[in-house]
Amino acid sequence: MEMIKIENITKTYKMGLIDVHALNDVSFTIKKNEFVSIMGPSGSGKSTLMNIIGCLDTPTSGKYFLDDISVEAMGDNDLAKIRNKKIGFVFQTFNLLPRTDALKNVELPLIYSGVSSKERHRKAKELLTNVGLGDRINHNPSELSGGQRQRVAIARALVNDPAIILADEPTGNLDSKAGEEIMEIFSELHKKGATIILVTHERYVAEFADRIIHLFDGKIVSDENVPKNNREK
Amino acid sequence: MNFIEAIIQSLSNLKVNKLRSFLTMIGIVVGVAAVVGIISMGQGAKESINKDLRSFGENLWAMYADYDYEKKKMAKPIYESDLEILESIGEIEQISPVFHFGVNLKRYNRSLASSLLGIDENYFMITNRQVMMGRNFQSFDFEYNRYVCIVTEKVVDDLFKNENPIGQEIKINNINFTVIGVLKPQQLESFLSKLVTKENNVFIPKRFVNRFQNSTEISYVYIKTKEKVDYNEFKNKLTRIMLWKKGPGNKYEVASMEQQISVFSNVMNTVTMIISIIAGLSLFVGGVGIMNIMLISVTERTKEIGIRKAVGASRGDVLKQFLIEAIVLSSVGGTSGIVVGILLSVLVAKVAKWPITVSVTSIILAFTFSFIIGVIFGIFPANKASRLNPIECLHYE
Ligand SMILES: Nc1ncnc2c1ncn2[C@@H]1O[C@H](COP(=O)(O)OP(=O)(O)O)[C@@H](O)[C@H]1O
Ligand SMILES: [Mg+2]
Repeated sequence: MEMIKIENITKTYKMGLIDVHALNDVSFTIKKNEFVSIMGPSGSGKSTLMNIIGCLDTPTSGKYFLDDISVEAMGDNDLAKIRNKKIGFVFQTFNLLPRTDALKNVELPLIYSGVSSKERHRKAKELLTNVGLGDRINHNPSELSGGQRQRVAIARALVNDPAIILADEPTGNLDSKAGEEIMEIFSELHKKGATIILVTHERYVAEFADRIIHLFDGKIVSDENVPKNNREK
Repeated sequence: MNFIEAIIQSLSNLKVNKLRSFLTMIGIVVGVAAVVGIISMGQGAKESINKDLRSFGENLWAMYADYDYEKKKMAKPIYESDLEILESIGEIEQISPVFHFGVNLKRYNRSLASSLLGIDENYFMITNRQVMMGRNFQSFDFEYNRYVCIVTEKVVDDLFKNENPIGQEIKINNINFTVIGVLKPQQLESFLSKLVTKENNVFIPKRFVNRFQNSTEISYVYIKTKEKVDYNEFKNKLTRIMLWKKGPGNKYEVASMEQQISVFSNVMNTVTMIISIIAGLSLFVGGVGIMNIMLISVTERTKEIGIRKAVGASRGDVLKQFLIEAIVLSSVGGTSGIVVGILLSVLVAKVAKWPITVSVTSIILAFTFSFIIGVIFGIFPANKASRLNPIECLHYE
């Protein structure tokens, strides 16, 4: 089943007189429960692609179908609902609300899906416990390490049981030990049936996935499957 | 996101910036306090003065021959013989002609320039006055040739010092009169009491007026109606009858206490309104302050807006959040302003000794107004926030 279908997508930024082609005629599909890594040098369009998949941005041209529904036709409310319910986004810079404790941060998506405060509290606590932060729920981001912050961000991305998890360089700001711990969580989620798209610079991180897409200058240059034995590290 | 959730969110946001929220609200607090305070004070002052004015006599009218500026001549004076015809008017209960002119009072070596009022038996009843010392005029004072007078406190103070004036003689323009009573001063509660100078009057039965002047023209006639009558209707009736009696080309002025009160009330209302509008301007300034702070807040929280949108906030959710924040700011400010305004008007009422009146209309108005100010000045920043691009917000540092 094709969960994500990208057809001839381009994204062009006008920088004064020159056009910057962040994405140039990109097409691919991702099936349910696939774990895909996207690699490529800096500026190759990885984040632009992720933002489009995550309905945070719209392509200049091309088509994007999510569960066979054209995203192009959707209004702001529908897109907000998709970001809220269907997609869990994890960023390189965590993007947590400052001066707001871990629990409140994880509750945030549930506020916009109209979950009662009691249920919000229970769900957020459960997810923080799952990522190993059960004893840190009332800590503000400034009181947490990078790895812990990213785990809060993952708990927030998962709190609404999204079908797709998008992670844009989730280990980019972490040391290798914290990075590995984060990747363990993604592997675990994949085993439980999640569809995951992950952007990374590092080969060994990318190889947690089943499939690696390479981008260069806004174009897909290769789309390879990762041999099974390689993944067992 | 539902409304209660949005209100809780905005309250916690305002709490993060306590000092700033407080400073932003001050403009609204002052504006609302000023409007509520001024309207309440205006109402209190009006009520207390109206009460005083009413104490001068209910259903009281005065009529006098007036100078006609167009024809440049004085109307024919009113004489006692003209009054009979007025008695035929059904609405009239009592008529009291007054002869009023300046005299000189003397006792031994003390003297005083004073006003003399030649009056009849009805006068004190019509004008609602009592004697506080000695006695009032009785019918025999008017019937017999008794040279008696009633004086005001000022006369007693100046001519008698600490002596008891009752039964003593004074000279009015060299004619001896016996003092039989001292008039009780007008009991005024409002600040009018501080404006009105001490009455300096001597009252005598009107039959002695011709001892002081040849002419017997009446200075003015007090008329008391049986019940409240329409001002214009009754005024026209009186002047029509007077013109019929005295001939056309004369001018007779008719005034009523009710009319004076309503003129006064209108003036007070206008003054209150003008001051309130000026005070209301500070509400506008407060509103601009809220808009300013909300715009700063939107810029400062650009990243937060991006995060919220990324996890599923729609444009409407963001708009709601910032709009409610502005409304909460202005409404909390408005409510505090109402409390301050009430305290202020109670304090002033206590000091000025007028009844404590809290204008409910002004409270409702002030609250609605500050709410609306929140909406008007909040909608622009909120709309700006809601239209921000989520990706640009997330990249904002
Ligand atoms: N908002 C923007 N305005 C102009 N150019 C942009 C913008 N966002 C990205 N780009 C450009 O698009 C290209 C791809 O960017 P990006 O997707 O962030 O690359 P990556 O994530 O692979 O490093 C880059 O050349 C970048 O400079
Ligand atoms: Mg990037």
